[in-house]
Amino acid sequence: MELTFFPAIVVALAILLLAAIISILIQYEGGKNPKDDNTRRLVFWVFAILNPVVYWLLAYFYLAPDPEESRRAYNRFIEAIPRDISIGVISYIIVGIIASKLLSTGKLGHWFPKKK
Amino acid sequence: MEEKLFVIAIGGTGMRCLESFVHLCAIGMFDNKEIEILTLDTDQANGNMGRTWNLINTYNQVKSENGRQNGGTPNTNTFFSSKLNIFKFYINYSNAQRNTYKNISKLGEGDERTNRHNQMISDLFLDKDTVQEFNLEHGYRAQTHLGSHLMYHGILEAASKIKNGDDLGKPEIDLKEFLTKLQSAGESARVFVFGSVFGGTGASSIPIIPVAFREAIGIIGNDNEKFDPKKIKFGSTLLTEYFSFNKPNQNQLSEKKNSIIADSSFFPINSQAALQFYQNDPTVQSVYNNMYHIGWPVESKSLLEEKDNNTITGGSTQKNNCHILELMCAAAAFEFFNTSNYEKTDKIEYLFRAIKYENGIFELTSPDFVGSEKGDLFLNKLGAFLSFAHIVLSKNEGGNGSLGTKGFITQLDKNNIKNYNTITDDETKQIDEYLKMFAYSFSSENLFNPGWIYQIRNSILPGNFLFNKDAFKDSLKELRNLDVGNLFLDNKHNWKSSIIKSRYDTFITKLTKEGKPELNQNVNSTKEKFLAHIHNGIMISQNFIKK
Repeated sequence: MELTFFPAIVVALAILLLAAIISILIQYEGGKNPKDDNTRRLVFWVFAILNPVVYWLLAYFYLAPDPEESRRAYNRFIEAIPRDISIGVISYIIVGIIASKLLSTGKLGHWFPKKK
Repeated sequence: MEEKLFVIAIGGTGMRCLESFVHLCAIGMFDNKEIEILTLDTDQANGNMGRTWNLINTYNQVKSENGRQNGGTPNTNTFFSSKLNIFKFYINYSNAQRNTYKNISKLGEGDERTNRHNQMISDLFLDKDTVQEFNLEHGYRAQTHLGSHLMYHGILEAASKIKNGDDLGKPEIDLKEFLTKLQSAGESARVFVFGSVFGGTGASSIPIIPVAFREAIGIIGNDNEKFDPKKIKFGSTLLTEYFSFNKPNQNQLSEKKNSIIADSSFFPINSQAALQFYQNDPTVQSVYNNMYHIGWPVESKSLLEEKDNNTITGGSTQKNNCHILELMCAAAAFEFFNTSNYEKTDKIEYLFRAIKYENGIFELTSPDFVGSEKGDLFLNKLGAFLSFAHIVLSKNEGGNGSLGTKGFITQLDKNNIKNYNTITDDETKQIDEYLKMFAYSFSSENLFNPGWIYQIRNSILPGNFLFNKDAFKDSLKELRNLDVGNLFLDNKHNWKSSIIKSRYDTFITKLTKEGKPELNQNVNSTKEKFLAHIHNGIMISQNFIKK
């Protein structure tokens, strides 16, 4: 198995970092119906969806080897994209859960809140 | 010897001073203290007294564990850190046989000779058609000579009832308990008396209270040798005139029951006469240690919101707004209770402090209230409680009946602090109620009602009161958007913010990471722990002292 999934993991972590920054930027709300925690959760899942799209675009248009140089390498890379995307998505969610649990009293804790 | 603290609040002004004192207890100025409070009045329906009782009742509900009414326990370095025990004594003048001096003294009864002598003695001191016959239900109406006599009589009369055990009402039971505690405290008691010297009930009572209590303890049958006012540390306010109200009109005065109505235009003269009395009276000189002379150097404002031209003489409609001088009186009590190594001497000490007043504006700083040594402590604690009030009332919209404290607990729950989820809705409402009385509330028609600290600040406008003007916003929209961590005039005490974090965000971070209650705070119930946690989080954010 070729290690083409490394870029997928890097992309997933970069997108997770972006989701974290945006989540932290969302201010705590008060009042009757605060929505800040839901918004942070929404940000996490929106970026979870964006993650494969971004990686797919990157893979096709930037990371893929030149087919004219090596058709075989190109085909192997394209065939591996679904697997890499899956690894990226799983990495995004697993690292997201870990970060959320480690920082459970902070804003990232809202991604995966503890049940009452 | 651990000192026992006693507070006696007398009359309408005394009640408002007590209101300020209770708020000082709520912000945590009387850490780890148990304080016995006696309210003393003649007007049992008085609006100011009712408001103060309600305040203390709410304070005790906040401190009590759910379902219990024990008023909690003293704590250290937190909000609501002192335990308050309230005793309510009032002299009942509502009965038709007891509603005037004439009726109480039974003038006109007995044989003709005795009756003539009684009438002559009464006429010598008290005007026959007015002072002897006005209705006492609303207090002594600035007739201090009558008031001192009747208050002394009222206390001794209650003591006799207690001794005989006949048909005791709640006021007599409360007086008995208070006197028993005072007597058991003996020389370790420190007693502070709140009242004005220019009005009726307070002015009448301050001079006679120590001696009346000694006599009452003697009558009840306890060993009154153990209670010698000359050996106990007594302090009091010498509060001269600072407010005015409508002059009584002729229609009102024409009623017999209203033949005497206090006229605020005489308050300066009353004050002057009272000060001369306090300077010369040997009894006052021998029983009081400290008297805090507190006065208003500019023209008095009218504090009453009178709907018509009548003067409000008392009753449930008398709910005057609070004034900065009442906070000064409460601060005087703080000074009295916190000064160590008092030596009881025969000489009374008169204390005062001057405040900066320039171009028609008061410039108040925290040392003006509690001295330079404790100034930061006072500002820190008052600022913390004001921030707490805004977190609950403004940020979580408790001021207009929304979630308030409950909303804040929900926020902590979302941040994985689940320790406070067991605090019931009733308990959170009690905290909200207290904070509304402290800061502000909105009526069901969304009308703004200023609470204690807003009223205090309004009383010195356009001067400054410790915090920036944003701390005292009064529109719903502005309050919803209020930056609750930006209340201090000195920016170094405002909560820190950065490009990615608002002040409130920084506070929540500090609260969750550093603010947990500590053992030495002596907090036991979940509610006490919750209050201590918020207290700690705000204190750390305000950056007064390094933790």
